[in-house]
Amino acid sequence: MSDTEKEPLLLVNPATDLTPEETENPPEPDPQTENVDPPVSTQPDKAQTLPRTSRQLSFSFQERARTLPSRQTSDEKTRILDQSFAKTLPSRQTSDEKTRILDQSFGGTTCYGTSAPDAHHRGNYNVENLGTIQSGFKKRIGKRCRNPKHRHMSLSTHHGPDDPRSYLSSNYESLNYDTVENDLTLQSETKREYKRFSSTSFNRWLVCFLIGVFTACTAVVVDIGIERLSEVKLDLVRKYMLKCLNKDVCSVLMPWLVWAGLNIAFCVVASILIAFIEPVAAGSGIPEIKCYLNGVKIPRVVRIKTLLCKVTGIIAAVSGGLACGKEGPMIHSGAVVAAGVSQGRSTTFACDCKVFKEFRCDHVKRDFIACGAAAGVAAAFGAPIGGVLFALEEGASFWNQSLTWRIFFSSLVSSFFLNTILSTYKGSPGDLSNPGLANFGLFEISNYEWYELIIFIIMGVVGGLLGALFNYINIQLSLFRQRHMKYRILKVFEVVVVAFTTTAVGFCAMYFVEDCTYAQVKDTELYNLQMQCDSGQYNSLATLFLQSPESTVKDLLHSPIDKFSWKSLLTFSIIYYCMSVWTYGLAVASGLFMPSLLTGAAYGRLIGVLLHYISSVTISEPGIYALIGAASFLGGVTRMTISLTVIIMEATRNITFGLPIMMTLVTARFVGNYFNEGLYDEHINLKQVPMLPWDPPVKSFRLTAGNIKSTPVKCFKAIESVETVVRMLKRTTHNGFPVVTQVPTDPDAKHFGQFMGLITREQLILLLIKRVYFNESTMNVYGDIAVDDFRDMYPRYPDIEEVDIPQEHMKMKIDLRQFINLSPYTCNESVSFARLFNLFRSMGLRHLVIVNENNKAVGIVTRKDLAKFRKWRKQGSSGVQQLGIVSEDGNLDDETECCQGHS
Amino acid sequence: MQYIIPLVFIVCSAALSFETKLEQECSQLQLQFASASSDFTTCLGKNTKPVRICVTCFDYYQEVNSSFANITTNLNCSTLLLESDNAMVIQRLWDSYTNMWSSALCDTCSGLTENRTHEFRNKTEEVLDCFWQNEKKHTPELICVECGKKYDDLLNLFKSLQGYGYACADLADSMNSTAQTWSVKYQCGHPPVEYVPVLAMTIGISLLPVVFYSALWKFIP
Repeated sequence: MSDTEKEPLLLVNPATDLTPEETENPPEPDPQTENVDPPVSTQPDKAQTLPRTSRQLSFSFQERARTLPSRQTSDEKTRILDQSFAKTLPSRQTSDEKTRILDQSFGGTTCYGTSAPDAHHRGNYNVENLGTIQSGFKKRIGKRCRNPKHRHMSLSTHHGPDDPRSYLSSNYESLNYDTVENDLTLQSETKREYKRFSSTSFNRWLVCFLIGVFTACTAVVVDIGIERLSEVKLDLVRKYMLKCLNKDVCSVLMPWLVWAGLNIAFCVVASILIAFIEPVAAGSGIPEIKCYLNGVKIPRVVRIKTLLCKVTGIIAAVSGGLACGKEGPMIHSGAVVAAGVSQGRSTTFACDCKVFKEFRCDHVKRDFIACGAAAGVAAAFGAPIGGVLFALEEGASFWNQSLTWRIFFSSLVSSFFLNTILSTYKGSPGDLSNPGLANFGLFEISNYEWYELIIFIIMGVVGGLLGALFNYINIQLSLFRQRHMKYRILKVFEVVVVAFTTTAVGFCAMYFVEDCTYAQVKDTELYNLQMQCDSGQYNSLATLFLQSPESTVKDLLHSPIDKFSWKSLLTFSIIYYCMSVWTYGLAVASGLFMPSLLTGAAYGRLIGVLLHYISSVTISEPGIYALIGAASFLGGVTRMTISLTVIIMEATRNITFGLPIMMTLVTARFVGNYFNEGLYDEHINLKQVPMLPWDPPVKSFRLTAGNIKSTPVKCFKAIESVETVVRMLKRTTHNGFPVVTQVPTDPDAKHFGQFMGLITREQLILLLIKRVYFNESTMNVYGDIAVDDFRDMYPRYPDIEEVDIPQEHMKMKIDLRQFINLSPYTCNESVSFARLFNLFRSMGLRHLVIVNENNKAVGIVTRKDLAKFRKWRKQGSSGVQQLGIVSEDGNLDDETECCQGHS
Repeated sequence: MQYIIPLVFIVCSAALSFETKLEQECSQLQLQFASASSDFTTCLGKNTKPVRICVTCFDYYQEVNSSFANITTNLNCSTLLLESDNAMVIQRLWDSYTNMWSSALCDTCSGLTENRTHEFRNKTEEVLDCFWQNEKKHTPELICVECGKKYDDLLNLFKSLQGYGYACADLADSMNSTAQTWSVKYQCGHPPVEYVPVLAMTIGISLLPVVFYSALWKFIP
């Protein structure tokens, strides 16, 4: 390699390749690069504006970095880089050179500019390379992965080639959280008066308030709907139960048939809504919202139709007796409400209220959706702080203080309004004792002995194990459903089968487990069934099954010790465990919180009751064990820690339990993570969503931007003909196009002209619709465009096929310079994967252009390029796997490669 | 000057006498409450099992009620007796009485509302009478048949009362003990236990998912 010899040349003239004469004889040592260097015309582009000082600095940093000899070890490099960074622009450079440097840096903030000249020599990232780079890897796997052209073999990830979790879907678009900064927006910002800024700030708070109010209203509708329907259903069942106590009148199976029939009717409604009308409203919606906040656009997830299906569906599903809760869907509902309110219009109903126009972009909408999700948690559990922490833990990757403050405001408003409306509905306005849908009630005695903490931790271990098993079974079931549930009608059938079985199992349990208690003064008669008990007594298991899940949780937490026998508790927890495993993932809207809490509370209470029988030391109330059990199991399934602790603390309005709950949850999380991921994450993987986790996968530090970039890039020139633009948009599915000074004619070119900025597909389509192009000969400009036009179109842009362009306009030119994003983030090829990942995640990027040392676009990195390197972890060992990308028709887009390691 | 000192003396003695008068009045009220509450608690203790508190102790409860009302209406005494010290004996006693009274739902079946429960009492009498008659005739095995109708009537009445929220502690306890006599002592009213159809249904239903999923697995690749 002759890098070292060539470097001094660069030191003398850092901007060598700017002038065309020198580009034809570039001092590139690598023959490969030399070959593909495109012919560049001598016409310099006039579209260059003055860059800012920060760019100067970063550029000088990059320039100096490039002058370093490549053979130096990375330590030395870092030292020298630090030194060079400490200086400002070298003073001995002539002003002419400086200008050239400035010119060259036009078009992008270069980040992390440690340009290593040997980046090209590493070549494209493949398994061979990895095998050598990651020396500690298993030989066997390295061999199996040897041929990257082979389709399946390389997926010796721990899932295997047939598993959907080994792929990422290319159908998901990213959201663009990075704000576009072009001439147009800058002009409109400067024109804006001060008054407008303060009204925007006021509007933000107003929107947060409205989000809280509307989320609370949704919660009220769900709550009252479920209450009414369940009452009607149980009234009928009870009537038959009493009637059929006499064997001669009707069979004992008669009440059960009535019960099952009603349940099935409700569940069919619930499943038709999901299977035929809006599939994305299935389940709890938390995975979808998590993806959205992470930056992936799940289609139709925040539409009003989804909200309607979700609300109706959850009312029907819970009234239909399925093992599911209404709390999880509240979070999704809150998010949809937020998305709708903040935009001030509904595209579904085609009505525009002409308000909140400034909030019509991904960046602001995401913030409001975080508010909505938090408001949903607050409404579900009466836990405003828990809501804020939930949004923090599960959602927002980009967090700022004022957003936290607004989220908290939304949550509090939501909780307060729910409280007010429900109290008024229940006949005591102003009482304010219903802060959430699920209210765990107050503990009268809340002290525990120190040695009980050990028991709580053991319960955490058990909860983690049970949760991991729960996730495993549920994922296997979901895989089965993905493979075999090809027709929508089958999904409805499955729901019918589940509803039928749930009812039957419950009925049998009530029938065979004799646990009779006498009438209490204040029992509500609706849920007390005599069943096979003696006259005047009631079956307590029937009470557990029939009353609303929220009341059951309260009963389990607060009843005196003899209310439920160990037989009832054991039966109940086993049945609920199995049923909730089976139910989550069905084609119905269903929450996971409530069934997990119920299962856990029953199992915890069981332990509490048993300890009371066998132990000789003081043991707390079984209710406290029920609470710990509920926390441990929910923690084992969802692997949430801080937000769940706070949610439970707020729902019980008790701070004394904070420590034991936290210890239990952390234990459950650790134990569960040993086996698999949390259920929400597993379902996200199943959906093949390219989600970026908190941190880059370990062991990915050897990868660089040059390894993972997509190349060649589809680029535009600053002034492009309409025909080229239309053809490119039709031919590709890319959403972001770098705009460069020159586009090479050679299709295999490895790099392009100097990078000027980025333009998105949506912008281009809008330019075409508005006919913002000019006639080259007459300089006659056709259309005009303003910033508001972009906002009006958001979020649904028409497809390029729907844009009608007259044939005679095809020859026109579009001047992109006014519209390109002048300061997108760019990276050098040698930037490590981890830095790239962090930049991408923290800034919420959609496209990241990779440039070479001469600021020429060489590739582009999108979310999928990063997300396909995923950490896997199984039973103590872990490594990086590379997932395949699969498009809608099921074809593999990329060659799948893998690398694996064991630690 | 010579008038002033006697004037002061007179005013002071008047004030003092007023003070003593006040104390006398209040201590009377205090005594009244004390004796009323003592009577009431005695009654409660006597009628704990079987529970007959609502009807039996209603008069005593009224007495406590009125004596407390006397204290609260007398402004001077209410300050002295209820608020002047930390112990707040009278206030706390009163609170606990009302709390107990309302948690036993006594207001729904005593005093003016007692008529509501007349029917229930009569029916209970009838049932117990029926039991007793059969015992006397040494035919306890016939009890289930002979008293069945009466017992069912009683139970239904109780349930309807319960539905209205009128099942005070007296009624609930009476009903529970009758039910216990009926089902434990005389072994009546066991609901028909049909394990066979339920068991058959269980097996049938548990086959349903198995059939469904294996069909899916087989026919839809």
